[in-house]
Amino acid sequence: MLDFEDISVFFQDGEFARPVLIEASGETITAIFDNGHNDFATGMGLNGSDTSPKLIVKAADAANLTAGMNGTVVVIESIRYQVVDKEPDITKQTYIFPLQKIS
Amino acid sequence: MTKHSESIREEIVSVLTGNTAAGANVYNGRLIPWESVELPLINVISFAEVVNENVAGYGNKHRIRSLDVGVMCAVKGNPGDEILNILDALCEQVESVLNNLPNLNQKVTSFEPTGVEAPQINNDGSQPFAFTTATYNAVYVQQ
Repeated sequence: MLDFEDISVFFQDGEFARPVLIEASGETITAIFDNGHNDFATGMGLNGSDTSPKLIVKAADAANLTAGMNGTVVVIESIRYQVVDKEPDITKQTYIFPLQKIS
Repeated sequence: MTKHSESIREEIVSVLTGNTAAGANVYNGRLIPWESVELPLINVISFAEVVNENVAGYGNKHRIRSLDVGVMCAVKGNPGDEILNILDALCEQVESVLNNLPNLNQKVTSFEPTGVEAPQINNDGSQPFAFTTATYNAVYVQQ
């Protein structure tokens, strides 16, 4: 029987998840990195083509991340991102953390 | 629209290229979507053009034309940056170049700033970005 409460398989490195380094602590968690396409109308027929990076994190790991102006800096595949927001999932098993790239 | 509007846009691109934080990212009516890595960026586009009365003594061959031109400035920032300050800085650089060219290097009779549109801010992408359009009016005689 499939256990719907056990979501750990989705968060295994090499499955849907990947390692995420928390820069300040040096700790690594595994989380799902969603970096889907996002485009923006900027008027005059010229659009922006961008992505909307976000992390899907197990509730147990969510306490490691802080959102906002001084949000946690994480490193994913050598790119630094800041956690800018925290969106609870209604299942309360995961949280979504929108990220923004630090250039 | 006339061929002259093309040369006006091209002249604006020419004088801005390399002289602002946008560097070489200055385009004439670009339509290909930009990517975040390309910002800051400037895109020059023409708006409405009004054809005025004939120039006295020249019949229908010489008409005074008034072309509105937009110089869109787009910038990005890091999380928490004061993105409007970054946008203002680019706009000031654009103005410092264009506002000192009252006849756009003799391309037109007069070239005047007419305003700056309300800035737009987006915080949903990989980096925050903002853009606005500085507008100018170019008056020239069609020959």
